[in-house]
Formats: sequence, structure tokens, C-alpha cells
Amino acid sequence: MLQPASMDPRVRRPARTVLDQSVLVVILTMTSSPVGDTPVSHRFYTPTEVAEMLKISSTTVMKLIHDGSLPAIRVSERIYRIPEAALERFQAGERPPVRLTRTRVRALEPLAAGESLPGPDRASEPVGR
Amino acid sequence: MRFSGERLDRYGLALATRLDAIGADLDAGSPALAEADDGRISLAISASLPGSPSSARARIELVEHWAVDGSAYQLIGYRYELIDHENDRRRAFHRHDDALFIRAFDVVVHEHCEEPIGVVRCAHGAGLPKRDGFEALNDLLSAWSTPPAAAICAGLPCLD
Repeated sequence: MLQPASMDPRVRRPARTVLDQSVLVVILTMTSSPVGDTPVSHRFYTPTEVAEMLKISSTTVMKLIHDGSLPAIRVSERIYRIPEAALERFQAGERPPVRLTRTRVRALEPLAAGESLPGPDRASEPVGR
Repeated sequence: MRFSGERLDRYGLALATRLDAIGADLDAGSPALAEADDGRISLAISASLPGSPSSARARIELVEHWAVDGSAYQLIGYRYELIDHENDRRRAFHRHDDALFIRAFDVVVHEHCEEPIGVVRCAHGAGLPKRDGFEALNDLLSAWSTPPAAAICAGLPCLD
């Protein structure tokens, strides 16, 4: 027999969950906003916002993204986000070149360091770091 | 993926330069190319992503293992990791211990997702192989740019 959703044991945490989640969203949003004199630099702009800031067209911004001049994160097929710090570095101009460090070692560190591996021999045994 | 030694150098530099351009601060000594006695090479890049100076920042770690294959190098494994301390979540794409994973799950690659960090819904998640470090880096940055209130682990199918 069908039961109302609030009585159905398969429905986990009914109405109150909605309230909890909305409160959580508010709290998380607050922690992502500028606090006092310490602005959070973890922000992302849309190409349109960047176009407005740089006083260029959105088409030009997209060209800069596609030719690699303006670093952007491809969130989905057609959606890009530009981190605030990336825009700052783009505006600042040339960066010091990145340099490769070379070393010699006896053996490579295992890629699975600290991870539980499947299988009867090694199940749930973390590989040493 | 199969690269000459010279191309592998350029690839490592380009990957690290991309992280630098996005606003990340590369760790001292990164990118690093370590050559082992057996000829295998590890490419390791680690950096802190832009974030609030008052809290622990998100970290990116990209590690690849390459084996000698004739006159070139072949990618044989990887560990691409995002540890986002600010938003308390982890996303990772792994390829290692091929024989073990083929025997257990009939797959070569797997993924990890923790939200919050330390809370594991499944020990190993199913995923598709990453074409290269650039694709992995973009996918990790995409997870990093996901708003804090949005879940990033919900759609990950479990292997275990």
C-alpha cells in the first residue's frame, strides 16, 4: 500500500532536510563572500564579465580563451569560467618562465600511496607512502 | 600516450605553465622530472590554487609515470588529485596497479570523490581514462570551480 511521502520509510529526511540544506547554502555562501578586510580571491568570472571589465567584446574574450592567451576553466561544452587570479596574471603580463627540476632516484614512489587496493591479497591494505 | 624525451619535457613545462597561468602557486621544485634506475620517469607537478589567505587553500597534484618504450616514453600510470581544503572535498583520477584493477573490476582506471574530505561513499569510483594531464587538470579545476553548495560526488558510480 502506498504511504504519504512523509510516512514512507524509504524517503529519507523529509521536510526538515529542505530547511537544513537552505540554511547550509546560506552559511556556505557567507563563507565564500568577502569577510572584513580579507577578500576571498577564490572567485570566478564569466566571459561576459571579463569582457565588461576589459572593455572588449565577448567574442574577443572567447578568442583569447580559445587561443590560450586567457586561461579559463572549461566547465562544460560551452561554458567557461575565468578565475580572478588568472585574470590578474593575464592583465599583469609576462610571467617568469616555469623551470623543470631534474632528479635521479633509485625507484619511483608508488602512485597508489595511502590507498586501499582491491583484491584478495591486498584488500583494504593501504600502500605505504 | 607516447612521447620522446624532449617532448615529455615540453609537455611537463606546458602543464605547469597552465597551472601558473590560472593563478596557482607552484610548489618549490615543481614541475619535477625524476628518473629511476630502471629508466622509468615520474613527472610531478604540485601547486596551491588561488584562495583566501586566511584558510588552507585548495591543492592540485599531478603525477605521471612513464616507461621506456624503444626510443620514446609511454604513459603507464597517473594520479591526478584535487584536495580542496576550502570547500572540504577531494576529487581524483587514478591509473595504477593495472593488473589488480582488471582482475577486480575489469577496468584500468578509477576515480575518487570525498565530500567532505575523509567521507568515502565508495572506495573506488568508475571513470573514463584521461586523455592527458591537460584534460585531467581541466576536470579538476572544473570541480574546484563548482559552487560550495553543489555536490560533486553524487553522480560517481561505485566499482566496489
